[in-house]
Amino acid sequence: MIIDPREFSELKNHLSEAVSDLEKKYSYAEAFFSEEEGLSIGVSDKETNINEIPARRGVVLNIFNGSYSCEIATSDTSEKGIASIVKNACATIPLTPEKYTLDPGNRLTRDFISSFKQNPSEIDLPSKLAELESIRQKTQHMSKRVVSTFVRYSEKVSRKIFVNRHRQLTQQLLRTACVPVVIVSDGMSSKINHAGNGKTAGYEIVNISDSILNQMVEEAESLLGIPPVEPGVYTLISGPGLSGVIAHEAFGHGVESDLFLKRRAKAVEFMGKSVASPLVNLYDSPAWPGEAGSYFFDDEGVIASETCIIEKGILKRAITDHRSSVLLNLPRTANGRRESFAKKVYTRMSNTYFGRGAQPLDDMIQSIDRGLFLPKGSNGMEDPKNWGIQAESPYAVEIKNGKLTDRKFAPIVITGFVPELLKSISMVGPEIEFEGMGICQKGHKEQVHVAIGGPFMKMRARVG
Amino acid sequence: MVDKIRSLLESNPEIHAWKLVHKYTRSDQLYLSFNDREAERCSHTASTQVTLFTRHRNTKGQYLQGSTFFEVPENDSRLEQRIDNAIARSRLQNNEPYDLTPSGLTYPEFNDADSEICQNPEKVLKQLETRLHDRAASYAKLSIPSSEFFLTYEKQRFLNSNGIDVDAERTKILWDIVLLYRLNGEESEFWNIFSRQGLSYFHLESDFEDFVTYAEDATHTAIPKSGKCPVIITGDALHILFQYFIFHSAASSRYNNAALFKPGAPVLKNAPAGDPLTMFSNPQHPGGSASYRFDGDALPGKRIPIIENGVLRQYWATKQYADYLGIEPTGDFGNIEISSGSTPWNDLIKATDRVILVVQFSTFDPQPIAGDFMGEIRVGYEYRANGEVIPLRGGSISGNVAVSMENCRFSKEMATFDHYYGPRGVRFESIQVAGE
Repeated sequence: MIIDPREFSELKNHLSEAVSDLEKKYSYAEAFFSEEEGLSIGVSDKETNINEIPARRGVVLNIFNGSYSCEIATSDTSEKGIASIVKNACATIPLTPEKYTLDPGNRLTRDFISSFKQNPSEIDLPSKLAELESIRQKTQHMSKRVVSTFVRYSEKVSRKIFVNRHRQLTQQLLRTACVPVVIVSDGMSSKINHAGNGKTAGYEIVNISDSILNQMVEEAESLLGIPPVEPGVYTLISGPGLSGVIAHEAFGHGVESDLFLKRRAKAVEFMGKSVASPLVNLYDSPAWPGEAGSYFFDDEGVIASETCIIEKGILKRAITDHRSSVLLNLPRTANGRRESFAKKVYTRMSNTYFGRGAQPLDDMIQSIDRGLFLPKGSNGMEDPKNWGIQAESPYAVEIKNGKLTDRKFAPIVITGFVPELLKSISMVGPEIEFEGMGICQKGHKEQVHVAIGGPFMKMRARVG
Repeated sequence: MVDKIRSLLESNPEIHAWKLVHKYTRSDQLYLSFNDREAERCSHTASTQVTLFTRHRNTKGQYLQGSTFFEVPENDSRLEQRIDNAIARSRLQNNEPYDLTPSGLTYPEFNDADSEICQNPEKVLKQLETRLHDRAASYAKLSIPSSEFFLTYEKQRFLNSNGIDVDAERTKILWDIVLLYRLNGEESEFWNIFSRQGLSYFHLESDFEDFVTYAEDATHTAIPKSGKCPVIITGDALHILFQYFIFHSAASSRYNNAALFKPGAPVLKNAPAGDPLTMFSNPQHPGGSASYRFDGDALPGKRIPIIENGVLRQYWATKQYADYLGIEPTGDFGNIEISSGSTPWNDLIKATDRVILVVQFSTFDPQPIAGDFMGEIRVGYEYRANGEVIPLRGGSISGNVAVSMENCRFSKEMATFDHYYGPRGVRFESIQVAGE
């Protein structure tokens, strides 16, 4: 799946020539190529499906005409196809008075390949099928209330080339996911649960222990017939998954600087000010190794590094794409990302997470007389203009007199005003964990890989 | 490329059957921010999606089938290798066999493509930009920080080894629009994203008027009180609300032991106190975003009753799962069509104490298997018994679709939202609200 970067040479040369030809007329041009290759496997008790992942291969040329970006994208990656775009672009894209200039960065030529322990290509397909089927069968026989089980596995190499007048970068990212799913039923209602994860990693991700599978099934069964929560404001503990949803929705989207340009983010008024408890540190880092949102450079050729967004409760920095950083005079970060060659660049998150604290989970539980423990996160939505947040959790466990009880409630949604929520954080755990399948949309479109995470955290929030 | 792939598939004795879909997509995009252009884009993509089938016998002599999908990009130099790999993959699958759709079917003369978008998308984008600016010019307190138009034209050709060779064209307009309304130094935002099939279903001016109202109302909102009360859901959330009923009435769910519904039996645990549910799969609804001439197996699009008066009439089934269950295929699920109720909209919003109308959630994604739902209110109104109407923003509702549907009423008025055609509003009599 991983190829020798020298195989990109010819295409890189075509893209370089295209950029050079375009810059004879326009002040700035860049080229971006992306493709995906891999397999998806699904096993259920009645079916096995093995399919190739759609290639989504193509090239986009981005031409800055002085005041706005003009892009032409095509799945025809031949020399002739690329040359035809250049000709067409020069004939149709107007030059306009220059409103700002774009910076090609310093000179850099690099090839990157993500690391992994076990290369999926070195394991034959029958062995993979046998292993996935073994996971499924174990799950199927863990309870009589299991009505359906399946395992979804995927291995995908994402290959990208970025070229401008100073940079020629390539990267190959191997992303692997293995997700066992169980459906349990009491005949009248059903519940679904899953385990596993999706990461920038190799086949090692398939190593899922029996205890994790057992926990997945028991958790699903325990949710059958449980009541809804009494709405109200609760002291609660968020697990790493829910902490991650809060990080992502509360301040991840809130500091995407393309929203600053559009006056869509309240955060712009609070740079350098207190927005959270002094215990709160928040980061975005594509350079964090091995997570779903990890990469070496963004889709505008900026090398990955960590951005500290909130430090000790103070809002420090936004994340940027090229256009926003120039227009707002903000430092560039490696957050200009596209869903694929066929989509536009926006400011997007990568791996977004709360930093670690010092208080263990047990101390948090013991400190609560009446509250809720929300071990998992599931979904969420941002509202950067109003600093509202919606964060969902599949269930909550009651905390009473400093102990977890057997009572559970579902479904659970947290809503509220972001600074109020973050300022209420009173305890932060020592371990950072990432959770989730790693997909984010901008609004309701433009999917990119991300990871969310953090430690256990104690806070006050409105729960419904 | 199609002819080359077809020839290789037909001449390979190891391949039992095949289907292929060639897709060409053109997307023209315009990104506006305040009074400026942020970007213009045009994207052309073409690929051929191939599914091939092999058959082999197990030790008992029964036929088993494998099938596998792969996509052939433009300029692909590894076609023969891809086919060999696909044959090897399919031989590892021991699935029940099913037959591909036979030729000789009649397809509806269904035009799902807007001729202006097909022929001159650049002109359409310019017209949309002008219409938007003209409409916005009359509102001094309003600005448009972001308006993104996406025009998509797709041409599809389907072929299979039974001799089917059909094609279809479709278009789509997607609009991602943000409005800011300034009042007393404060700005409030309204954001929406939706798609329509063509210009005749895209009512920019009237939709814009509604959005301005929502943006203006957002300057003076309240959070609802906690407790149970009637809640009406309207707008684009309706096309997601019924996912639970679609999942449990699917032949694929039945085949995988995950369906709760059985033909001839009620779909709810208790007899409904309000309107019973009647649901169709309708791939021919004009302007619906899930309309199709033929589905992924080349079955013709047909309007099919799935649930009638609260009772499952039949599973909806693709060709594969219909063969597995020994039932008639209905084709893939098209637009969701829900029959209207008898309550006029003005009666639906009447309150004895209060009724909450949710126009837009922050996000709304009911769990299709369990039916659990929750959503923060992004745009809502509280109708009170004394006639007051209070704009809402914040707070949330939660519940279970299957339980809530036992006491609900559908409006008499019908509306189309994305791939939903049905009552303009659905009123649930008792929903948990978390607010102040």
